[in-house]
Amino acid sequence: MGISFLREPWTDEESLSCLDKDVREWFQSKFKRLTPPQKFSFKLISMRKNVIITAPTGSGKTFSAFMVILSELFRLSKERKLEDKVYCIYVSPLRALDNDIYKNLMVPLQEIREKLGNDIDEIRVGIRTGDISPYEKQKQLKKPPHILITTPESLAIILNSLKFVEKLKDVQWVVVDEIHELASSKRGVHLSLTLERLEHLVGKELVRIGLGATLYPLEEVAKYLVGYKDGKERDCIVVDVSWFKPFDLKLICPTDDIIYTDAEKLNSLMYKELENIIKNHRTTLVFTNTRSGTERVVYHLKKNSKFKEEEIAAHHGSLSRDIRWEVENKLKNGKLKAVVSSTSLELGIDIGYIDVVVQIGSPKSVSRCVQRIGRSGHGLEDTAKGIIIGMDRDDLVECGIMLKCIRERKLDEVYIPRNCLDVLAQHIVGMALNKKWKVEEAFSLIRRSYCYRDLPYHTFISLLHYLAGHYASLEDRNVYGKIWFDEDEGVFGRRGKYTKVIYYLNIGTIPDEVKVDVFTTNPRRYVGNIEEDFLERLRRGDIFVLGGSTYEFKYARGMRCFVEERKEESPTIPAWFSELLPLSYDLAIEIGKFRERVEERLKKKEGIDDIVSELPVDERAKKAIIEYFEAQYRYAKTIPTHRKIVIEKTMDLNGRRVVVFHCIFGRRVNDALSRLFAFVIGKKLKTDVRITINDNGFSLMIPENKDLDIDDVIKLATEVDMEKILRENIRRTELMKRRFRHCASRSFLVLRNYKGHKISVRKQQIGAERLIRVCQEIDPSFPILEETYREILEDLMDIRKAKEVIEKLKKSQIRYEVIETKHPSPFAHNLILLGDADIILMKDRKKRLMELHEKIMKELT
Amino acid sequence: MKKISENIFAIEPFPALYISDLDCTVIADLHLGYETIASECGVFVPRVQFEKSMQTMEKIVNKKKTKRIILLGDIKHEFSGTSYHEYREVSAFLDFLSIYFVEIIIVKGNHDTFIHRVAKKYRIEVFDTFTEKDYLFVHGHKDMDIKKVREDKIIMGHEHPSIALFTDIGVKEKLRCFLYGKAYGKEVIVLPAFSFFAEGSDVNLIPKEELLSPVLRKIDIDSFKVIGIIEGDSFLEFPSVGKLRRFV
Repeated sequence: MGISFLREPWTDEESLSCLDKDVREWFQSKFKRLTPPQKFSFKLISMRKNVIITAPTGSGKTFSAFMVILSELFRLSKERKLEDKVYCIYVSPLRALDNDIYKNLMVPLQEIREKLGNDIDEIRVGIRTGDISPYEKQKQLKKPPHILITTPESLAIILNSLKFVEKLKDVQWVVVDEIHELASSKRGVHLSLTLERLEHLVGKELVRIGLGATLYPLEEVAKYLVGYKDGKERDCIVVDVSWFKPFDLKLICPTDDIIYTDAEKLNSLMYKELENIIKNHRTTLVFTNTRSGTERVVYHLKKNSKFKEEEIAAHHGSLSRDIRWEVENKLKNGKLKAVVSSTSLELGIDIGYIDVVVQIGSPKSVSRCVQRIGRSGHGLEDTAKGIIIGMDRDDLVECGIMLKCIRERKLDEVYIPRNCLDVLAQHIVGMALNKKWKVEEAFSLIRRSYCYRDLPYHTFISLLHYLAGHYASLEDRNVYGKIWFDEDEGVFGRRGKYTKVIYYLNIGTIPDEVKVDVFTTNPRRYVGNIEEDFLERLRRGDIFVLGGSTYEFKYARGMRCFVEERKEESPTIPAWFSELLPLSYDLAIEIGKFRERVEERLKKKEGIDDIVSELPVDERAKKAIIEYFEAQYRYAKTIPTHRKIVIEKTMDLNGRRVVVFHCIFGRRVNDALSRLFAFVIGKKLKTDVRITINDNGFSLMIPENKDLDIDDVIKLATEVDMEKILRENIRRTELMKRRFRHCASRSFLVLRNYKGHKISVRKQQIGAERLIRVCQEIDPSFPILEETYREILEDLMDIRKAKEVIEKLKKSQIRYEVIETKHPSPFAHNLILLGDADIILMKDRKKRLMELHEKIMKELT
Repeated sequence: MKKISENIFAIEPFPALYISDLDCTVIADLHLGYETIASECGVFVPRVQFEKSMQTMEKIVNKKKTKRIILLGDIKHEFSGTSYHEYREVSAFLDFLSIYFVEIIIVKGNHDTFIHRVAKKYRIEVFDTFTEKDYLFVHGHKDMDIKKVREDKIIMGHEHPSIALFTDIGVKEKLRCFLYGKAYGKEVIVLPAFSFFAEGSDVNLIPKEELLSPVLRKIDIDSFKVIGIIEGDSFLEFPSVGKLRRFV
């Protein structure tokens, strides 16, 4: 049977009939009827099917998963058969969500018990996360919760808790919430193995229930949830009711003239629109794309608008948990007019009633957009209302098409990482702590996880060798080995008295976050700090803004970064770059398709008014989009699409030669492609090539005196081994060092906590630099090195799709066209000026954009 | 061999000096036992250095055989006490050197606490500074007034000098290097670290105040010449630290 979709719901009577009488009566006293997901889930779960349910916020998702489980537990309780053990495990990525669920479950549990005159055994719910005290844990051991609420990390730890694990031996249901959020990260990969280990421990098949917001493709996520058995995916029924909620979508442009409105004006117009929206609604949720953007919008609303300070709040990941909690509570109690967030309110934390979601700038992916807008209209039949404010022309096109995709229910594909060796290493250590394993037995368990379904056997063995410390000499293995492994006998197991402690203290997939201090080289002066992942993206010579000044990146030493002030230069990389979400591949392709249609029309000298009118945009946005396309076509005589890369030889504002590759495949693909082309061109011209990249393409800066034959470059690019070149390209970058540190720490090569000490990131980092050298010498395909490359190439970049693009280029399924322009064509403007400033505050950049446009217009007339 | 000055040569392509009128080889900063200390801190660097050090030493001896060898400080890595492994590695290394050299001289570095315990076993004398003819050998971690030094030639370690070069795609290459030049009328030679794990100071990137050695901080190393080591291959010479600075 495998994965199947269920489209026909049961009637309410049929669904309710599977509930215990008292539970049913309680339910009916509370709700008039079943919500769409419940019409499917009650029956399915009572039939003990694995299910995945995607439904929007406010659709009674929690009860759709839990009602039948509660009913079963009450039945047992009434029959006095409720034992002291865990029946159901609920896992979510957020502690805040865990707390919400706890509260939500307590209501029916108490009320139904009261209804029965408290005459039955209590059904216990317990939370187990990193927050709870040892005392609490002891209590849970004595009286285990019947429903255990936890996080992926804590669940993994429980599997190695000798005593508590006894209480799990009869678990029947596992509920995984916010599965869309988990599946796409290493945390989710980690959880997929935890679930297989749990099932192995229980010794019989668990009923797995996945809950999520909108996501695509559901088949894959379903497979992720249930895993494989004997090489075949387990059965799972997919219930997709994510679309029953009506959407009211609109893209607005704050000005009549998006090019010649200066930045200050544009900002104030944007705020005016925003204030109007807030005024006309009860509670507004505003999303910006960066934390700094969130702060600025909140600052403005508090200081320069009619709203009271206490009616406006910010909510993002850098704020402390207490502050976030307070904001969530105020929201629930209807005390806020508006809350501004970067990503933190995307997930399903209970935030009460929101009537409208405003998004400033593009959220870069259709699924994310749906999810954010879906936070509004909490009631079941309420319309989800979303307004996007576009801030430049690329934004307008992108968001217009995004909203069209939502209407057509086209989502972008979720990406689930595969064969992550660092995560696997952690689990192998955990497994070894449980018992002695036959290699074959462990291998087949691991391959039941969707994320490791095609893990090569030899890779698994090499990981066992690594964990057993076989890279060190025999006598050292007590220190280096985390497991014991006898290859001849084909068995492995625990080793050393420290291993268990190491495991507990170092489990998890989220790396320690650090700030990197920035100094000028001469004179030595502290200028501020940047996020580590921003440092990761810096290449020598990159220019960026920090605290209002521009600096050129020179070098990094451990956790310090050295720069030189460059007053006259314009930035090559925006400070929010690492925070900025990348444009998704699927949305990029949709934009490409749209551009193709536009170009066809323009070629025939026909208008495009009707095509652009298909997008849910206001008149101003429509006008701006039409002008944008027309200007591009008039100036460049061509429009880049997903099947045509336009390569533009031109000059930047400082008169330096640049080659702009207009390729619309999303940023992760562009990241890989830009490095490939920079390498090929650099090699051909024997010179340094500076790369600037954004969602719509990348540009390479090349010296004046060299001539470049693009045909040659393309030919070369299609002939070389891309993976090899990219690996070489990243090998000695900061990116590699830092990612290696993360992977090394996930796989216990470098510990974060050891023998009671917390190892500072700085120490971890210095270790990592040397370790890369040593690992490379021991074995060029040392598992942790391989994992680092994999993570960078597959998770951070998208080498698979990039290879596809090159392959298509080779087969001429994607064409390329070379043009030469005096000034960059309109589509190149944002790229040329990338990094000048933030999207919400962009004075100079705006000025430069206007200059550029003027030049072009002069040339055209 | 690359001649650095009268009677002083760098043994290509190794981090070692040959001084002909003293009939001796000089190496600095071995940092034996590094891995043990690292693994005690939860960084599990596999033990590779000892093996590599012996191999390199063998090659050096094959290139130039001398009667004596001077170890210019930081023979071992641990600051306090001696770990068992370190003790064993240092002993084994001294055993190994005894095969090739008639006389071993140890100049103490900042990491060499308790080195005398091992040295005593081998009847090797440990010096804070060692002088002979017009040579002064120091590790380089302690400040001193060069003007007041009686000898004409100062040979030191401690800094672990290296230079950073960038390839056309912005990849950083780091080369261990010798530095040599004049300061206050004396000749000063800084040896690269012998240790595989030595993280060098990129002398052409970091400002002077950032240098490890208080001795070097006070002199103008921008005028010093540079001999970079392409590992296992050859030397690469550069006119001066200062010019390399501008090149970056």
